[in-house]
Parts: sequence; structure tokens; C-alpha cells
Amino acid sequence: MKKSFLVLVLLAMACKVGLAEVSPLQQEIYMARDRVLPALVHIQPVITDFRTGKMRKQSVVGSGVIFHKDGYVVTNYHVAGKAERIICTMPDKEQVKAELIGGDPLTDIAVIRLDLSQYSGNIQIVELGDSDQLQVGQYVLAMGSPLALARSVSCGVISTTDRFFPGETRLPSGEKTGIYNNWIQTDAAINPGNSGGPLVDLNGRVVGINSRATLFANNIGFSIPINIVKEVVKNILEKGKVTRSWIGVQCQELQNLESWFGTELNEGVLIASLDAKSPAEDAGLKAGDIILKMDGQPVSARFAEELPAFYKKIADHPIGSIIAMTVRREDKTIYVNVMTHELGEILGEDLECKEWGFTVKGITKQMAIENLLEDTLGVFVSGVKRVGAAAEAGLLRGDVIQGLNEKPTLTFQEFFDVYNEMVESGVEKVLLTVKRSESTKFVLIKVNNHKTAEENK
Amino acid sequence: MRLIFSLMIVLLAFGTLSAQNFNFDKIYGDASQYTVAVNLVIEVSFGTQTTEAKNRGIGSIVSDDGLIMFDGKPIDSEDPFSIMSGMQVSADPKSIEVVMMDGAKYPAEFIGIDRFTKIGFCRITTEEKKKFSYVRFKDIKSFRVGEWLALYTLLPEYVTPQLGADIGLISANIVEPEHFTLTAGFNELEIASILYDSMGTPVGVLGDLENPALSGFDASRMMESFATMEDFVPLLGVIGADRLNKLIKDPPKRGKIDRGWLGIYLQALTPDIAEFWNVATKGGIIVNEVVKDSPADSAGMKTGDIIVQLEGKPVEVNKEENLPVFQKKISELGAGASVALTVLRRGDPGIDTLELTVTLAPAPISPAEAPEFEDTNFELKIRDMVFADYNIFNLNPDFKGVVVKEVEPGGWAAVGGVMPGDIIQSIDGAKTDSVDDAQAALDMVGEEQPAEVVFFIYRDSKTMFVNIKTDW
Repeated sequence: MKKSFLVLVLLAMACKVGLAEVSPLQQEIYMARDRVLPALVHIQPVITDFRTGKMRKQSVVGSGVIFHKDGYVVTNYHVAGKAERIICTMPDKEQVKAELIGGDPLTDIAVIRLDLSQYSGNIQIVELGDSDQLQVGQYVLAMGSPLALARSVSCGVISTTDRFFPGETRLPSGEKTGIYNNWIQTDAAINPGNSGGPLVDLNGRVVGINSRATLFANNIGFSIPINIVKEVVKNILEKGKVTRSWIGVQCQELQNLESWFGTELNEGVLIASLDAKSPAEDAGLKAGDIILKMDGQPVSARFAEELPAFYKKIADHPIGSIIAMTVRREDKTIYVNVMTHELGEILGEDLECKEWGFTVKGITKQMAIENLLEDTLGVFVSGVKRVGAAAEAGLLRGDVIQGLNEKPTLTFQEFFDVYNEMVESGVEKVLLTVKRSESTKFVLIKVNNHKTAEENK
Repeated sequence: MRLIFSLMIVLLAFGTLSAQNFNFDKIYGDASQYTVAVNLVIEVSFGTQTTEAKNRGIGSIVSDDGLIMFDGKPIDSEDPFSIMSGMQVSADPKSIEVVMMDGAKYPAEFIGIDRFTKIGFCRITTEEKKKFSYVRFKDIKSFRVGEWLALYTLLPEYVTPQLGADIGLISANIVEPEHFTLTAGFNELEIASILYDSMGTPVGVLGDLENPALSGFDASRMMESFATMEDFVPLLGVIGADRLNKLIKDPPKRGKIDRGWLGIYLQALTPDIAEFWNVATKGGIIVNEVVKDSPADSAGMKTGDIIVQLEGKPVEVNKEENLPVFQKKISELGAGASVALTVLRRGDPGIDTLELTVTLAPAPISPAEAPEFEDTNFELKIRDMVFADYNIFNLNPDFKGVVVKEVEPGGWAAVGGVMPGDIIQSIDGAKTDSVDDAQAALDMVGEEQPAEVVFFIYRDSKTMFVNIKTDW
């Protein structure tokens, strides 16, 4: 007992000595902390999820940082992008409500606005840095709510500035993400709950938005570079969303393929694949074509790390405008004009067909491409309740419903109207005309049977 | 597992049955003349790993020039047990050795396997101008329930003599889902053994009734409607002389497809849907989709049609599980057969009845039957695309390529990033529409021996270029 008391006292003295002689690095960390921590927000949104065949509400936890004096907070799309309502905890531990302003799944960024009318404290905003100036080995701090532990600060260095993930990266809600940027990798501890929180340099400027950790690994976290975030946020504040151009090409790094295609190093971008019925296909582009110039400017992607910037270049082109391409095909140079289309929404609207035991989504152009559908006609079954009338009838996730009782329902609105009509009139049997793979299936849902079975329970 | 279980039954069966008035000495004398052990070397693959396996089973000489029939199950690439366990059996045995009861050994050449009885055929290849003793089956039109049958089955290799007797009786004459004479007292290990009646006359071989729930079994269907344990208990019975004699006369040849095919996607007409559509029938086949240019398409069949009669007999399929009964009937009618179908077409108003005559086409081959090619430089095995691939990958009919079947880990192709399931569309700029094309392209590469070769492949509904570094 006596001994432990002694140790405590000694520790206290040591601390005091430490404070008196702070190293320059420690001073910088304190300064960075003081510039950002007062703008750090703990975010608790309630999000909706339709994937189990019913609308399910879920309370999640994330982080965010105030960047505008009117109470705008930047966070991840996967934290607040699907939020119904949001409660935030301010740095002084007071709670305020917030509303979703807009989100962008492709970069995993969302903007929410704090309801400052309820808040008596002063808000502080952060300064956004320049992620292009980051260096490997540079000290950074990560701030946020790891595992919901609010106002946590961790420290590390930048491990790499241009991490690229081959293959697809998807958000929990199913959208592809990270197409237009590489990632900052850091060994500052990032855990679930850090999502949306700031990565801060020692000048106290936000250089990234922390968004990914790695399962079964330590000290490998990823942030979205702030320069990408700045653009997205600007678009969301102006238009509520980010609009992009789309031509429908997938490209591939040219490394190791230069001699086969007969190109110089660091020359051109290789088209690997084209989306069906895309502007690029319409313009006559082919897999194996190498884009040498766009609008007169040379482009290149020798390494995979260069691809996101190339995709961004296309996306940033005005919608409906012509991209003049200089293309190398075999040993000829050809000129191709590609008219850009709007990329559009990635996922369609959700609807829970509660009485029938499944959920549907409107089909967007991008969903049709991804799911190899011929067109966007019908609604996409996004979930089937495990026990329910639809499951019993054999409806499957991924089916496309194109008719109810042999009445065509080719748009989300048509389906929505007919569904509501049928539920109101108390229809007992519904024959769904369903597209499954190449084939049409007839699925008969018996509404009443199921209801009585459930009531009997 | 299945083997151990069956062995237990063997022991039980030997212990419990009483002998009848069979002249076992005579039957043994006959059986030992033409019963043989068939040693197969087969290729079995799990995922990307391929190994060779030996299989010893019973066979019978069925002609004086050394034609042999044997249990083809070990080389049945459609066996549900294999499919369930993720095991792939190559449809071609690597080698066959036939061992006579007197110890003489002969190499044999594989001919083919009958899809329905799973009886395999091979022929002894020998320089000697030898006439073999062979079994002659007597056609018994009908068996009575309670009638006894005997057989001599192959015993394990380390015992002498090699043949052991067993008896069983006719337990039922089954009529649905197909005519089948069921026996009791025999076990699964005795399949393909010759059955003798009480006079000692060969009347057939032991076989099993194909469960409709398992025929045309594929993994995706299993997830939809899970088969019960009952589905896996074999029902053993007599494969009769009429059927065997037909097979012996014209043994099924590998690669020759005579299964009939309509070219429709189908669904069972359940009572619920029948009621909803106001169709007064006990069951039927809903045509979900008609494959373009298929026999059904030529006959004018349309999505939403309901097949209610086949060859004048009602098609009473009223649940999904019974679909294979219909599929099997079409399959067995055979390619080229002209088939009468009665079809209901729902119109506005009322329902039309159409009588259609369809000439069945040969069924598309399965992936296991597809021609394949193995390249030893790149250490990969490829095969031609088949009809099923177009469905699985949702591809346009004009899409061409060869499917990567196996990639040896550490080989050039594997290190370069080629994966099983990839579809190779060109090699070094040369289009690969078939394994012949691919083989030609790879031969060319083999002559030129470039340091790098570029494959153009299709994976996850996208195309990409793969650079493969070589090391000649």
C-alpha cells in the first residue's frame, strides 16, 4: 500500500518535469490537437438498411469535423450518407441534432449540418490542408471515436501517399467506392468508429478523412486525401450531390505490356473493357485501344496508381460534352470523339413491400451494367425476408420484377403505385413476373396465408 | 464414408439371409468365366488440385471380342456426391486394366458410359487372337414380387477366391417415376454384378433407380431446395436384359450426344398458379424462356406456354422437385426424335390448346464433356465453352473463348495471374474461339519462345490483358 502510493507520487513528479521541458515535436502535437480537437464531432446516425428483405433501422457511430462556421461537418458516406436522423456530440460533450445535406458514395464522403439553434457553445472550424504536399514518414494525428470512444487522438506517420486497391472496394451498403482517388495509408491507429474523422498534420490542418481500417491487421489505416474531399464537399454544398460524366471504360495499367502494344513508357492509357451500350462503345472504342491524348493533352497510366486520376479526368468533363481522343489501335493512330453522359445515381430508391415480405430498389443505369441486366426496366429485389410470403413463393434476391398480376411495372413509380393499390384493395394473391438470369419466372405470392400464419404465432 | 456404411450392410446381409435352391457351383463356374475386375486410373480434382486415383470394380465380358461392361459410377462426372463435395471427376479414365479370375491381365480401351444406367463400356486391347467367354442375358418380361435372385460379386483384392455370392428378392415393381424392378437384400457395392434367376440364368445386372430429385443435380439447385437424406439412399434393382442387350449392341460412345433437348427454361405448374390462371389440369410445365433457334423455338413455343401432354400422356408436374422427371423423359427420347406436345397458350380471352410436333436436338454437352487441352509450358488446362457457360456468365451467343479449367500453382500462367474460371479470348493476339485455336496459338508461342505472352481474358464480366512472363 505504502509502496504503491510512493510510485504514484513519483509518476506525478515525472509528469511535471516532462511538462516543463516539452520537446519541439510534443509542442507541435499539442498545437495540432488544439486546432482540431475543438472541431471534432462524435456522430450517431440512424441509418436504414433494406438488404434483409425489410426496412431495418440501425444506429451507427462515426466521427466528423466541422469545417464551416454555419455548422457543416464532413464525414464518411458510410457513416451518415443513408441517415434518417443524426445526433452529434460536440467537443464540450453537449449533444445537438444534425441533418444530412448530401453524400457521395463513390468517394465515401457525406456532409451534415449541425442544428446550432440548440447549441450555446462556440464552434470552432478546422483548416483544410493540401494532401498533394504530404510526404511518407510525415507525422500525423488521427482523431475520432474508435469503437465509439469519443474524442480519441492517436499518432503515427504517413505510411504511403498513393495506396491503390486492385479489384473493387465496396461500401457496406453495396456501392463501389474509391474509384477516383488513391488512399493515404497511416499507422496512426484507426478503428471502426474513426470513420469520418480527420487525419491532421502537425500544423493542425486536416489532410485526410479517415475511412478504412484493415481486418486482422494493426497500424494499417486509410484516409481519403483532403483535396478530393474539398471538391466533393464544394459540390455537395452547391448542388446537394456530385454529378459526373461517364463514358463506360475500364482501364488497365500498361506496365509490362508496353512492348506488346508497341508503346513508349509512360505513354497512353490502355482500355481493358467497355460497358455494354456505353458512350465509349457507341463511339467505336475497343478493348486494347490505347488512349494517347484527351482533348489534346497527353494521358498515361503505366502504373495502376495512376488510374484513379485518369477516371477522375473523365468524370470531371462537363456532362454531354465531347472528349476528343487520340487513340492508338494496333499500329495506327485514330481519332475518336466520345460524347459523355451523366453517370447518374449508383443505386435506386428503396421500397419495403412489407405485406409481401421483400424489398425492392429502382434500377439505375449503373445497376443494370453491374448486374448484367439488359435494361433498367422493372424493380430489383434487394432482399427477401427469410420467413415470409415471398420467400415461401421462391422469390430470390437479385430477381427483377417486371409485372404484378401480369400488369407491367417497368419503373419504380409504376411498381410503387400498383403495389400500394393492391395492398389497399387487400389482394390475396399476387403473380410476380420475374426476370431471373436469362429467363422469365412466375412467382405466386399468397398474401393472406402468410398473415394468418404470422398472427397464429 | 458411403463405402464403410455399405460394407456394414454387406456384413449384415450375409448374416441374415437364408439360402434358396440355387445351384451356386454352376453359377460360380459360369461367373468366373466372364466376370472380371476392372482397374481404372482416374483423374480427380478438388478446386485447382488434381490427383490420380485408382478404382477397382466389377465388370463382365459381354462379347467374344472382349467388350466389357462395368460400373461407370466412379467416372460419372455428374454424380451428385462428387458435385456436393466439390470434387470433379474427369470423364475419361487415364487407363484401364482388366483382370480375369484366372489372373490374366489385359489393357482395355475406354468406349463410353451410358448416362442413364451409369454402365461403362471398354474393350480389351490384345494382340492375341483370343475368343473370350461372355455372358448372354435372357430377357425376362416381368418379375414377380418375392422371386429370388442371386449374384456373384467381386471381393477385396487380398482374398481368394475373388467372387462371393449373395442373394436377394424382388421387392416391388415400381411404376412411378419410371418402371423399375426393385430388389431387397443386395447392397450398393454389388452394383453392376450379374443377377441370376433360380435356374442360374443371367437376367440382368444390379443397378439403382435414379432419384429425380438428384438427376441433373447442380449445386445452385441444391441451395434452393435442399435434398433430404432420403434422396441419397439408393434404391437397388434389376437393369433388365432388353436394356443391356441394346447397350451391348451399340455401346454409348464418349462425345456422341444422343440425349434429346427441347431448348426451353422451365418451371412447374403448381396448383396455385394453375388456379390463378384458371387452367384445369393436374400439372404441367410452364415455358419460362425459349432458347433462340432451339427445337422449341422452331416449333413456335413461347414464354408463358404450358406443356400439358407429352406423346399423348399428361405431364403432371406440379412441383419444382418433379421437373427432372420431365427433363429425363425428353432426354431419353433422344436426339432426332419427333415428339408430340400439347401446349396451352393463355390468350385474351380464354386459353388456346395447341398441338405441336417438335424434333428434339442433341442436348448441349456439359463442361465435363467439353474437349480440353493441357499446355505443359504454361501449366494450365483449358476447355471449350459449352451452353451452360453462356447461361452462368450471362453471355451473348456471339461471345467466344476457352475456359480455364485448371492452373498449376507456381506455373507461368498462375504467376502471371490467370485463374480457373477465366475465359481466354486471345493468346498473343490470336483469337482463341476453341481449344483447337488455343492449342495452335500456344504451339506458335512454343516455337517463337517470346519472353512475355499476353492473354486477353474475360473475368467477372469484364475483359483484361494478362502479361505472362515465360522461362523457356
